[in-house]
Amino acid sequence: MNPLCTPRDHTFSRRSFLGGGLSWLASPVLAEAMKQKDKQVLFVWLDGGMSQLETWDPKPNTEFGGPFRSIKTSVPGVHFCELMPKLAKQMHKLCVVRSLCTKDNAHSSGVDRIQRGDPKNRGVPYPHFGAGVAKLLGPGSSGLPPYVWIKPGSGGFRAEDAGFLGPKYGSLAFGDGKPPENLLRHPDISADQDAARNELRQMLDQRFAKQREKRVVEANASVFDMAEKLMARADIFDTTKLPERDRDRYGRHDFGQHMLVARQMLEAGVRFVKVTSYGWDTHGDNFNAHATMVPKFDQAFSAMLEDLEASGLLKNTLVICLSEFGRTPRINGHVGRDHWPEAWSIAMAGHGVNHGLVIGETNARGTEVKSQAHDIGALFHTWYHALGIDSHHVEFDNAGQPLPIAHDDMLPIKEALA
Amino acid sequence: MNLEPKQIAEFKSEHQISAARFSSDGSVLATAGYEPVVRRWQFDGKTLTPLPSLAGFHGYSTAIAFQPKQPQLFCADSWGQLRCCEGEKTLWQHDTAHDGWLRQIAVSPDGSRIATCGKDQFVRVWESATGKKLAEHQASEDVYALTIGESIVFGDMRGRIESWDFDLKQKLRSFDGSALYKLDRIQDLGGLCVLLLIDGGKTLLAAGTTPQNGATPQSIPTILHFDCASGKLAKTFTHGTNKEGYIHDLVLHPTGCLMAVSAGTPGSGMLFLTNPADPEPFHVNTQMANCHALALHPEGKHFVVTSTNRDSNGNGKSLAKDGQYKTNSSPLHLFEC
Amino acid sequence: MHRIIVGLLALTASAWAEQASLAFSIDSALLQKTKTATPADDAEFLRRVWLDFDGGIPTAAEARAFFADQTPDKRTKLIDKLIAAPRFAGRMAEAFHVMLMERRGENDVWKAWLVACFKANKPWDAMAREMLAPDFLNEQQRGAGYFITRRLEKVGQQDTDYPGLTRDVGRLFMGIDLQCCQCHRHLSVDDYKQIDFSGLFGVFQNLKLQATDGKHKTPWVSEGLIASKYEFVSVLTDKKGQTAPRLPFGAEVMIPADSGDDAWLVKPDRKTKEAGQPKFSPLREIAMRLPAPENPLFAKNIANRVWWLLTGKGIVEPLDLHHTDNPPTHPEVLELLGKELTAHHFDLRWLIREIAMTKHYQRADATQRHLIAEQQLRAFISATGEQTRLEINTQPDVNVDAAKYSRADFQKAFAAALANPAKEPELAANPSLRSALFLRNSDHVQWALKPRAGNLIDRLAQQADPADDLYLSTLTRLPDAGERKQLASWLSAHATDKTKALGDFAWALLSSTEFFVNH
Repeated sequence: MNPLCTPRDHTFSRRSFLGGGLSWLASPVLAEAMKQKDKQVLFVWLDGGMSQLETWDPKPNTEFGGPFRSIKTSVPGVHFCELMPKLAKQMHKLCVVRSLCTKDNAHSSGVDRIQRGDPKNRGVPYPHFGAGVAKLLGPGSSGLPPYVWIKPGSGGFRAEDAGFLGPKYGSLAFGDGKPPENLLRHPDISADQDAARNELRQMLDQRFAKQREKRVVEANASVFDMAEKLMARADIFDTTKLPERDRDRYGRHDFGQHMLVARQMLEAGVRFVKVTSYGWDTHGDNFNAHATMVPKFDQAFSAMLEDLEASGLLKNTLVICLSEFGRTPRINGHVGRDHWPEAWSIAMAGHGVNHGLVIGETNARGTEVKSQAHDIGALFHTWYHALGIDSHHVEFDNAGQPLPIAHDDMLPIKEALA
Repeated sequence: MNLEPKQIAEFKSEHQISAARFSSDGSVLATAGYEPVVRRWQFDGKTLTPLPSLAGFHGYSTAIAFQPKQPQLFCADSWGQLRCCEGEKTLWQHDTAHDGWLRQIAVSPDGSRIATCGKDQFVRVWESATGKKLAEHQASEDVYALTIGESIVFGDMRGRIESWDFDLKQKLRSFDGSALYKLDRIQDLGGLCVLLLIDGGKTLLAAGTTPQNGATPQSIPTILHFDCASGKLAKTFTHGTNKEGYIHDLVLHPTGCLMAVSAGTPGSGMLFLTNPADPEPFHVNTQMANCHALALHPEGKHFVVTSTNRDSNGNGKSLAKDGQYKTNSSPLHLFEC
Repeated sequence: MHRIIVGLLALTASAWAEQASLAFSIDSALLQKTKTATPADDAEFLRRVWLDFDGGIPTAAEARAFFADQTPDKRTKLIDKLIAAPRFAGRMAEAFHVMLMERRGENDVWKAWLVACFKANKPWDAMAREMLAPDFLNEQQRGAGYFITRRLEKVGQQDTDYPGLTRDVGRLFMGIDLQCCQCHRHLSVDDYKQIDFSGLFGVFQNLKLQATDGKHKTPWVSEGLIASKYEFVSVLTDKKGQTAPRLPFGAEVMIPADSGDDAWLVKPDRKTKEAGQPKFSPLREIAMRLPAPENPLFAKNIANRVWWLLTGKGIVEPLDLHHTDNPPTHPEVLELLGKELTAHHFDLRWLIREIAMTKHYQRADATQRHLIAEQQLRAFISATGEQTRLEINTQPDVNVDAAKYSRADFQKAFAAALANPAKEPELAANPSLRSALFLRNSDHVQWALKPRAGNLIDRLAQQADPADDLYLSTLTRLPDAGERKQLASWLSAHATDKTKALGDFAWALLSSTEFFVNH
């Protein structure tokens, strides 16, 4: 039986969500210098909790280490699990943090807390990192939606991902990385005609909005705008036109093909691209599961790093890869590992972060963080700093109420910042 | 007259066991599990007393196979080591018999050869006495299980099962076990666990699970019956719900019935006995939390089921009474039948 | 003198009647907090009541007639006319279908049941009872069973969603979302406890979905035996509890002591595939107790939801989160609505009419409200003059332009573009990328805007000054001077193809916010 225990209701009051979510009129508290258009973010989300012991922080031949061996990486002294041979060769590009220690071991509430930075509870829903970046850095010059999400399953616009920042900063999800229906201009309509009548529609809407509630008119303007921008870039979705070699390198599986679409999005200048892979919650048959999934992740993520570097995008793109927690050292009766926020790992690369570096360490058995432990708030600070945003001074404006962009009491991880 | 097994004793191993077998004379039980050690136990008909274990493995010890008429024991680990022992003495050893996880060992009926398979997609044949490599075959996928009758039969993650004549380097027969496989998102769910020949080699059983979904897997214990002569699937046997999971071990009792153990979601363990022709088992025991191995004593009057302790799962850091974070353990259940 | 007295008495009587009406009480209560509501002008009023009670919009001719009408009580008359019209039942059925099923599926028998209920003005408590304890053998009532059976259908490999059904019963019939009480007490709402969820859950978990068979013309549910209390544990405290069938916040229903064969009215029989019928039906117990005056949340929930339906804002929001720490914006109004509705035996038509008569409902500058896909469709095909054609085309033919689509095609396309995904309540106007692309590029929309005998574009093309007809047909109002000028210059700028120009201008009106919200 699947229990209903789910999301956000655990972390904030729904009423305040509805009250605070319409702050259209808030203007960002932001210095001009921060509106740098070039910076982008790739956020790879491995939903369910990827095992750190079968990936970034192997403990081969120890009581909890599991059956796999570890392999050397391109950085002397650093080893990965044998399931990630390609990424092992690219460790010199990565910054791996092995000292995550977070609070929530519940799967569904944990996802929200991690993606929203688990800041101090102020009774309002905090935005996803992507929504925060969209707000603070702006949509960029591509004109495309600022926060795009490529995922299996259904697509659609998710206003709730923006929390109190308002629906404008929600994520636009492309289900299965596919373009939305009706993306291409109707053959009976010329480009001029399309433009002209849309302009007319805008004027009519503006007239309607005078002296009236503006929320729906603005939402409408924003979706028509998004539609137009996407129509202009319909090519981003078409991976069939890409060379076979690319499609093979990323892997002929969902995650590989979605990462390819993500690359297209980044190349087109989308500010924040999130890619989700589901199915990592291996409470059973953990080793065989990781044996088949990690190599696919390895393949696609590796290809992405190579391509971002080759195109020069890696310099300006902050790359983040994580789950909502790691997996238990102890193995259960279903040959599975359970949820483990106590000591887990994430990986980063690109703009603003050091590379070829492991930060933090766990003890020999993998049962706790030995060095200084970091909660997700510290990572949010780190990421914002990497993007040139001083996370302790810049604030969000929730309809006049200034709010910190990351947990008040935490600090960025200095060693991670370039 | 169907068997009526009764548990008569329980013993404990501090680490989880994944494989267990009795020696040809029934005096020793060897177990492999989540540790780089093969454990041995003296069996006197009533009790299991620990004997010195075999160390020098890495990762997990994974497979156990005894000579059918001699005392030698073959064992392997997840880093690829293959070893032949007599008592505590190592007769021969290959550190990288396979590149990585060596999953199963099968011994030929006459004991002269053994075959191994693993994650490196290879099946290899070795001379039992010397360890000399006799033949090898590269499959196209992680090879999950194998057995030896007149030929060597092996099956991979996708449920593709084949029988091969290694001398002639020829495939003899294919068996379609794809019911034991499913792709869910990016996870290949391989449900094949055991291959077993019965009816004097006329029937091949492929046991494991029919996967329904991945991540936290839901899957139904399944045994596929194949006709060896034609390769056709003659029967599909399932038992239990999708919580009952994988049939991890399957043995044939001298009286002709099949004995199987399964482990699914923590707490859903089964021992069941069934006649090959029947649609339902005649004996089901769900008292053991998660069952992973069944060692049948050669005289057929006793067997051991190894399982994982109760309450083996839990998110976060649950500590033992002494405040330590410990591994789970394996009860060994001794049955009389 | 006599006449004066009679006159005075009559005046007093009507004033008295007015004062005694619910509408008046509501307005007085609201006035405490907000200033006097300016009434909406004729155009806004006309469109609003049509959308609310017909589900579509009036034709240009109907609009003109209403504006020209000088009768002082024309608004009241119009409301009464629309509520009495056959379309009212259809409109309410659609609204309740979306509210109760949240786009989980379409089912003709269910829809027919809803329409019949509203046609007969079946009281809400009777409707609730028929949904909660459906009589699958009753020809007239079996449609109501869809509420339960649809939710119990297995989706892929997932377990039967008993928790989801339990949750929805709480949400939709009592205004409480007990989702987070399945495994432990609610973490943020003190009022909701695990026993509140469990008391209902035990009842619904006891149902088994059955397929259509000889006796049953739809999928149906059988009930098992409940002989003991349902046991539950809190995953947070490990504390155990148990409960008999129980309404949230209510008392436990006593479980009879019958056991074995005695407990069955009709014994189950595997051989005859008889599912069996227990003597003790917890489902019936809940169905009796929940929709009752003794359960005040039942009345408050529906009153709040009907209020939301007509005004766009619930007195309690979210609509399924009534609890002490989430107080109503106007507690006395909610109290009044609940009490009066109960006193009127849950007569929805009466409640709807009373709310429609308030100054609050009829005010200018009302909340811009979501139109469900069905309303948008009806308004669209009415405005474009394609209603009749689409209804005739039951066998569409892609090769014949005029017969290219049927109404069902349009219904499907509009729902795909404009309805929320399943299980996502449609609560507020929420333009989406999907809807924008649909309006911009879809074939259905483009088709309707081409000239075709008798449709909007065809009609306008024959007029020297199409401005009035265009605005009346689409926005249910006359254009102002600026808008006339705008249209005139548009048409002269695109003089080479008049019908194309008209089509594009109409498109702009039909894609504008003013068209697809209820304001």
